Amino acid sequence: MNNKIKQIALYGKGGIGKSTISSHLAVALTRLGKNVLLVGCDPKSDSVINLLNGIIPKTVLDVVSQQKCISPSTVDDVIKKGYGGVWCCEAGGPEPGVGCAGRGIIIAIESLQDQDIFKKYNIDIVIYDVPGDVVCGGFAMPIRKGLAQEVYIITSHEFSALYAANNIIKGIRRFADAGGGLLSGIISNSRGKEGKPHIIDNFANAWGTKIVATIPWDSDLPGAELHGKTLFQMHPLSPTLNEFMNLGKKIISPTYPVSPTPLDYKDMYVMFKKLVREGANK
Amino acid sequence: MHELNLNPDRILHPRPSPIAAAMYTLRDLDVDVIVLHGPSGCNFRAARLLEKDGITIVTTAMDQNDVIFGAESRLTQTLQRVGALFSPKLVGVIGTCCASIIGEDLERIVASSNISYETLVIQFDPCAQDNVEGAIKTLSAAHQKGMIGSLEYERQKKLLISANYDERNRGTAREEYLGMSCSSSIDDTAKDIKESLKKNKQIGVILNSKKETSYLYSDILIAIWQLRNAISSKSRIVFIANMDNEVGLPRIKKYATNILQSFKEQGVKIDYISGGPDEYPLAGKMAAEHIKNHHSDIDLLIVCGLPHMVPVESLAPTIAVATGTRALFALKQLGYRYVIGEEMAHYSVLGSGGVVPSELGTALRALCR
Ligand SMILES: Nc1ncnc2c1ncn2[C@@H]1O[C@H](COP(=O)(O)OP(=O)(O)OP(=O)(O)O)[C@@H](O)[C@H]1O
Ligand SMILES: [Mg+2]
Repeated sequence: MNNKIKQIALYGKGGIGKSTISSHLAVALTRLGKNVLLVGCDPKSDSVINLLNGIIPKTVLDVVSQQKCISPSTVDDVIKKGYGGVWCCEAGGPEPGVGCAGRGIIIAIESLQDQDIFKKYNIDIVIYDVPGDVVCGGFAMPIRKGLAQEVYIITSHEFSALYAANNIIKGIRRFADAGGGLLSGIISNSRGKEGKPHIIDNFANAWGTKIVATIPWDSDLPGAELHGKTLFQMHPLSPTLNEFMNLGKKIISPTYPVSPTPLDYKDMYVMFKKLVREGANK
Repeated sequence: MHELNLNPDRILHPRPSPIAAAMYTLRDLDVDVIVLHGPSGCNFRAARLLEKDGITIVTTAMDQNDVIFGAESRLTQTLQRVGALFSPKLVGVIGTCCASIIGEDLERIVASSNISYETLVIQFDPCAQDNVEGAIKTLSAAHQKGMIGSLEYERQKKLLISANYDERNRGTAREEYLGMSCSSSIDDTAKDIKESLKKNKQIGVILNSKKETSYLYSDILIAIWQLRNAISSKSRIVFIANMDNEVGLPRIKKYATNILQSFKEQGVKIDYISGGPDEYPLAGKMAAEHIKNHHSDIDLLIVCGLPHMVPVESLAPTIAVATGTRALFALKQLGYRYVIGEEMAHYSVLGSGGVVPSELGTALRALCR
């Protein structure tokens, strides 16, 4: 594998903001001079939509299902240049309720690996936007065998998000010893004006990592999304963009990937209750 | 990392799967066609064997796309093609491993496929460790369709569970690794039987065979009787057979009727009917009890079919006749003096409709002169 290329995966509970943060981070990294490829690994294919003016591109599995594989001539069909120069790609997958999305991701990522696309597009950084918890082997694909060397987990201070994060950490831990991707940090993204950073901070410590960015809740985000755009395009002066730029800078500076320590459910629960109480007493 | 576990807790050696068990049960239910919803090649061995019995077997040939995107239309198309090609009355549809992993809803797909024939849809866990699971699920589907009554369903289910118990404890579903074992010399065994006949020994011959394989094993009873008469032996021969022709599905009853007819024609008198051709797990025990209670002074016991289900190996010198290298291995461990392998037992009986020559029977007949 090309060592110059940095491949990172963003995981987190459903609806926590993975796709929003991935696409904004991708633009931020291009602003920092990098050639970025964003790969959506969700069968609903909505990761790159806001970089392509609301249009879902032809997916890898669309092509693979018709032609058995991605070939040098079809690779351009599935890698589209989006806003800010970000290269956009969706794995694709089945309709809800049928087939096997996990198997789809395995095939899609293997098909991309077969083509030397990173070289062809001169990619410096690949971002994988991966759905939900690590629900099956397919969704662990980006971190297995160290495809993505680094994982960032997005969480809020809510227990369900922390719980999902802990499950993802279990998945990372499983592959860590065998050369799988490691955890480089937590991205905090809490709904509402008042996040509870101390909760996330304590959990990050317990897992053996740190918060690398705190994205503010910005009511302009859903609005931009309605137009199929990022804040960079819709509200170029938004202060929220600074956070994405800072995150981008951190990611291209030396990072500290670790093999994280998952917590057991009971410990998580006790710790969470204690932190909530402490927060209330302050 | 898991530690390597060398404790025997899973079967390593090849065994028929629940899918194969479901296919055989569908054959017993006289379906015309079996559709395996899965990749091409799935269970092809069992499929080709059953084709000899007049059943048409097809797969939906699921491919990678079907696994990822769902294979609903693949199944629908296959069902329609089956209708057009074979004009069947009754079709069994089985979900294979692939279909069950991606959660294909066979019942719904079949119901919306716009076909004019009856179907039996079998969905189960193909990774079930016990292959009888496939047979029981098939019977349950037939029961729900009203093709078999509650009593028959319960009877067969009980038998399958009992057979499974024997397979796990004395047969080839034991958890330790079972190697392969060769047959004892068929000619030597035949000569040994002839010697016993010459010395006018009391011989017990137990037929305890599974369904259609009875067509082959019953030949041994006939051959022993022929040899006895050919050499004017005075041996008393006790014949026991699981050939009750009043139990089971029509196809099973027919096996028993045809075989009883052949026995009659050849002058073989059955002393004790231990059950029907699908009752081998219980019939085996009945046969053993019968020997214990009425013929404890027997000199030689010959057990044909599924000897591991007939616990007689400690009652007298025994000869086991069975099929499959692993079954032979298991029988040798049980302590049979001779263990004879009838290699064609599963093959030559299919599509035959009557008694077929066995290897031991042929060897015995060669000694008639
Ligand atoms: N910091 C934020 N401020 C305001 N809205 C946000 C923020 N982060 C995410 N959202 C909104 O939350 C919704 C869900 O975000 P997004 O689709 O990025 O989540 P996801 O984790 O990718 O979801 P899924 O698991 O369904 O893929 C979107 O409407 C998005 O605009
Ligand atoms: Mg998303």
